Amino acid sequence: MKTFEVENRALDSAAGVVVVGLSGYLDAHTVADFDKHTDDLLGAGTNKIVLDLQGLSYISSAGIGALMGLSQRLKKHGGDLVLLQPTAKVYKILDLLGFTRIFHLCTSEDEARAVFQS
Amino acid sequence: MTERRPLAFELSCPADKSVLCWVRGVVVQSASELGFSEEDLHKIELSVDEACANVIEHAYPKDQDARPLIIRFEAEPGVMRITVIDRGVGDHGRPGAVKSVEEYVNVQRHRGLGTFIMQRFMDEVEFSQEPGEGTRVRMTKFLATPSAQLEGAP
Repeated sequence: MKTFEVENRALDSAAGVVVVGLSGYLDAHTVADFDKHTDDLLGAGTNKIVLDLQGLSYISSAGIGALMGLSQRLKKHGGDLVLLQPTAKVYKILDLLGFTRIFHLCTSEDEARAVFQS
Repeated sequence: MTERRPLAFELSCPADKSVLCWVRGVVVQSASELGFSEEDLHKIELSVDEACANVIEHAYPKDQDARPLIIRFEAEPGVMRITVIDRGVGDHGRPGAVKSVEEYVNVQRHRGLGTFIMQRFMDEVEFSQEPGEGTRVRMTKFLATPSAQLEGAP
């Protein structure tokens, strides 16, 4: 069973921000799909990504590693990564491990876009 | 009076990434019936996932057909033990891959978080490896409250 979806939800051309929605499980099984999708975005010149996590029900170390790698690659290209509205479970996992101190976490799309303007 | 007895079962499946979701579901359902808190269930789910993912990634040569992954679940009142077993030869899942999240963040190759998670989230983690016998990772979690017992276990 492979329950993971990744899709571009919105593109703010003026700000150069792409909102990407994740749903399902981001684990060792599904992380390759995430990497492929974000590789394509970076290849197209995107350097500012908001990951909408409202539909993500689970994340493992493989997923966290993919988020870390993406964040560092975006920063190298002058951009950044923002995590938008993680589900309670995903937030708890990130928080228990200390990653809520490391990632930008936002509760609204406007707040997420503001991170890139600051 | 409700009978209380130990619960034990074993899952055996191919060491393939596609089984991770299924294994997590079985383990979380079983741990939930033992009375673990929601936070502990998250910790147990993640720890078992990491141990299984280690087996899938590292225990066997890529071209090996037979790649067994065994998950042994044992529970007694107040304590649950899960042992993840492979029959490979890989030296994987050893403790101390990273010492902290900060160390993990500051290395370029993001590896070693799985073992850190197991050690941080479970009360006891034991790794053992015998020549030709593969690797065993035995994880123990104690119930936070003694009132949660095995009532209703099959």
